[in-house]
This record gives sequence, structure tokens and C-alpha cells, in this order.
Amino acid sequence: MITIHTRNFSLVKDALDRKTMDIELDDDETVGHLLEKVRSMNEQKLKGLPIRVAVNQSYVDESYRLHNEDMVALIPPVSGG
Amino acid sequence: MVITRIIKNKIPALPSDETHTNDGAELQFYGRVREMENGQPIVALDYEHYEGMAEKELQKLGEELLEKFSINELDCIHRIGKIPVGEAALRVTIWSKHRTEALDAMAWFISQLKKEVPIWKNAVLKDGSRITSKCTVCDV
Repeated sequence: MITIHTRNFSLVKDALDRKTMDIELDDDETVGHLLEKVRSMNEQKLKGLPIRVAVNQSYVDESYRLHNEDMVALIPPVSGG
Repeated sequence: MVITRIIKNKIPALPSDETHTNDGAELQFYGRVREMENGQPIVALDYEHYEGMAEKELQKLGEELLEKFSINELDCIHRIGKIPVGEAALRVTIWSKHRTEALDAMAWFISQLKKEVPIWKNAVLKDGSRITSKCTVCDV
């Protein structure tokens, strides 16, 4: 098992009502698996919401393989400017 | 040269720079907080960012801009925290030899900033309550 630490921003934070989470995953699980797990925490509020993922402050795609103690940001559409 | 930063204080005005003697175009954009957000009167926008990554992505975007367009310099400040109506959340200045490159580069840069840099805004209403900005690209 591995443990990853998430930071939840904006609409993801609102939907999960948490700023951070520690999530346990099987070894070699990917960002895609993590997103499935996250979406199942509040299917109604997260339905249709695009979520990008950054690991250790760089964007990664769904095939990225997570490692123990990774810092994972759950990033909904941004709205700066 | 690319200079980008994210700050918590009011964005200062940048006077026209007469030392850019090779640049015929100096283009400046301010993004200001409007008094209405999604049809509701507001008193401010409150911007949050992913500290560390937002700075890194903004600088990366600036460097990409210089590679993509024939411009000579970019200076960008994004303000975060609570920004009252009328004040600037963003200041972008571009210098280039001719106007067309500067205008095209400005449009691209702001459009990309709104897609890539992890910054989010919440509207602050008169009673102090906050509304997270609606998602404009969601399927719901």
C-alpha cells in the first residue's frame, strides 16, 4: 500500500468539504485510479467537473503512476485573471 | 526578459518606459474587479492560489510566450487575496518591435493564464458571504 496526500482546491474543496486528505492506494496505482476514488466520495457534486492533477507541483496525466508520500493537488478549472 | 510575480498587495501603476528604444509597441492590460458577478452585486473578489505551483506555471507561461511570439519583454503581476471592486487583479505589460505581435501575444497570454495557472476566485457579497466562481467548462 502507498499513502498519498492531497490538497483540494476551489470546487473540489467545496464538494469534499476538506482542504486536504490522506488516501491509501494499492502499489502502482495511477492518477486515473485516484480520480475514480475521489469522485466516489461525492458523486453528485463532482459529476461533470473536470479535475486536473498535479504531483509535486507539476501537471500529470491520468496514466501517471503514483508513489508513496506524493503530494497531489486536485485542480478544478482555474479562474484567475 | 520575463518578469512574473504573484503578490498580496495592491498592484502599482507602471509608467511608460522610455528606455525600450528598440520597441515600437508597449502594450499594457489591467484586469479589474467588476461590481457585478453572475448578475449579482459584489464588493470584492477573493483569489486563492496554489502557492509554489501558481508562481511556477505563470513564469513558465511567460517564457513560452517569448518563444512563441516575436516580443522582447513581458512583465506580469497577479494579485491574490481579497480585491475590492474597481481594483486590479492582473497587470500585464508587453514590449515588442511592432504592435501586431504585442496584441496577439497579449490575447494568447491571458487566455492561457486563465486555463493553466492554478488561481481561483470567489465573489464576496455585501453580507460577507462568498460564492465560488461557476465552472464554465463543466458538463453539468
